[in-house]
Amino acid sequence: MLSLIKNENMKIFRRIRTWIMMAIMLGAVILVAAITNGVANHEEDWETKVENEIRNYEDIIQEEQKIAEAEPRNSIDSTRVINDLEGEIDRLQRYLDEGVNPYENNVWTFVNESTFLISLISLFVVIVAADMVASEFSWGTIKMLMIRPFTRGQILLSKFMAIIIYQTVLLALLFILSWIIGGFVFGFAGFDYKTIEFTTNGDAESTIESLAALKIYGLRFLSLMVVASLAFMISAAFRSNTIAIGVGVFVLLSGNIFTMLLSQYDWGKFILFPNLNLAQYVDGTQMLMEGLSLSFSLIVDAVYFVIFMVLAWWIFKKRDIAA
Amino acid sequence: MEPVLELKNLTKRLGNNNAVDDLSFTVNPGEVFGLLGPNGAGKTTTIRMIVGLISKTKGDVLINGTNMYEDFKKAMSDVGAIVENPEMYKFLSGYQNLLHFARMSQTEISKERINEVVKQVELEESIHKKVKTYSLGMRQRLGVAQAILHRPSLLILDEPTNGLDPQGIRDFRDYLRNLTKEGIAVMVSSHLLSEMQQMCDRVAIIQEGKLINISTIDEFSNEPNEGTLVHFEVDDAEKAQNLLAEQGSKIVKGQLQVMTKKENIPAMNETLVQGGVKIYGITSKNQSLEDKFLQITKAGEK
Ligand SMILES: Nc1ncnc2c1ncn2[C@@H]1O[C@H](COP(=O)(O)OP(=O)(O)O)[C@@H](O)[C@H]1O
Ligand SMILES: [Mg+2]
Repeated sequence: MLSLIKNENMKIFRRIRTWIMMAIMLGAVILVAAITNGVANHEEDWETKVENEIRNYEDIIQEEQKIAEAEPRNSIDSTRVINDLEGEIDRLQRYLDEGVNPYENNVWTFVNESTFLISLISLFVVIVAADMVASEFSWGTIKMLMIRPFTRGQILLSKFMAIIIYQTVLLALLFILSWIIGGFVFGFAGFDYKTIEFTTNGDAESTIESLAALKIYGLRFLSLMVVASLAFMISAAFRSNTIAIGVGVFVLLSGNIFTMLLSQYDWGKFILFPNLNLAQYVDGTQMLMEGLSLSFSLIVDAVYFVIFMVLAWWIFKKRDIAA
Repeated sequence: MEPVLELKNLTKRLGNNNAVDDLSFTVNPGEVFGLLGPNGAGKTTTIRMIVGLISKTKGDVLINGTNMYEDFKKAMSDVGAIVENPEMYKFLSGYQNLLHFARMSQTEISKERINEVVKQVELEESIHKKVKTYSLGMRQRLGVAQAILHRPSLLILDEPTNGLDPQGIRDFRDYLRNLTKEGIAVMVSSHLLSEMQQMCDRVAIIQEGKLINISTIDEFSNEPNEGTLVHFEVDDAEKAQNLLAEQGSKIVKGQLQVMTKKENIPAMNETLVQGGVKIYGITSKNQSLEDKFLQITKAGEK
């Protein structure tokens, strides 16, 4: 079994495509670092900046109040703006009180920021997974592969293990790249660097940034596995790797559109895609659908994962390898 | 002696026809066994079933006594094969391809063994180049290398001489001979009889999936009852034909042609001479295997 996985790894890492993907990752991290550095606050000291911002918001609030008094018909809009800004002022005040710089850029804030590049990894993993079985059919090598003393289940499993290894390598690469580049551009910081994060209901929490990043990576790893199993199943069903990759990428990209279309239905939460973004439960991004929780999503994902893997195996086991 | 390969009533239904129809034969250690049939006869389909690439409709395949459908891993651990063209990973070097297949062997394959096989198929110079730079012949040889790497007791080669020149075919035959001396059984398929004649000890002819004839090469070339084709060069072909009508003589290109056994030639000669026919020459030609193959496959078509 180990030798089969070695073979699959060799076939992944001896292809130029794989190295292009890694080069793109490097380029993306550098680009994100450059942009972040460009918009970063370099001159003022942060307390003055926060205070200025608070003062600025207070001015706007006063203006809005005047407008609301002058034109009571539009007062609903003004009230909303005022509410939002007051919340924002509270938030900034918290930073001042705790002595935490909200504009701080260091290695850990950057590592957290660049986790959005994991979407790029999803794309790469889908491409590789969708190619994994179908390419052997396209190349004709499948008949050389299947006449060895291994069951079809073993061949399939070794291929999936290689995908998991590949996604692990990509995640590790992103982490290391964003740590090194982030460290050099924004300065290194200890693992215990803390910042304040606000939950959706407005509570403030002191969070350790390195742990937050680790959580996101861990949850994204699980989502990636499910995405990979979907693409892998598609791969097992097609003769042409081009078509398999096309279908795989299409499914990945159209996932969020499906979610939006189906979010109005009760059963919408049982479809895969809204449950795929596990990191939404920890990174404070907007949720696409209401009524989901981490444990619910984990269970839904696990069920889909098992279904995809069993289907992949079932399709592959039955196939006649002709032509 | 236990056969290395045994087919029992092997059948494969594809669409509305049986691409392979109730095929039974055995291949013994140390022999080169030929599967001969025109294109579409079902050779590749048979081989695909033997190595488990496609499912069977009926029948069984036994490799060294192990039923392929019951214990695939055990049966396949002793088989090397090329099915149709040997397809290799083009982005890998020849050596990496061999390493890939060596890792899939049940027995440990050493670096020395890989090098030895590379030498045998004469690919030393290009083995570290990417396969996409290889010529058809080189790919063919790399295919053979991966098939023999693990010293299988059964080697199955589907149309192995495709793309080889006559010298290449002769070399290939010698190479197969050497392998069989080590006790390996080889099964080759081809649609060209002349090649089978050069390479095989025994040949099975199949047509539309059915076994039509199976015999040793020796039996093939001098089968006594069918006889030889005899030409009489005579002055009056029609008269001669009348004299030998009973023997089934025909006039072909102004000459008398009879299919008969060699020992009958003197008697026929006498009949013609006594009948007043002048004979300028007699030529006899053993019916070639090619003729026989055509004859057999034609009979199968009826
Ligand atoms: N997938 C398929 N579906 C239907 N018929 C097929 C399929 N593959 C092969 N055949 C038919 O099976 C017969 C045997 O083909 P094949 O085994 O390739 O012959 P050979 O190798 O002797 O040239 C042919 O008539 C071919 O048309
Ligand atoms: Mg064929």
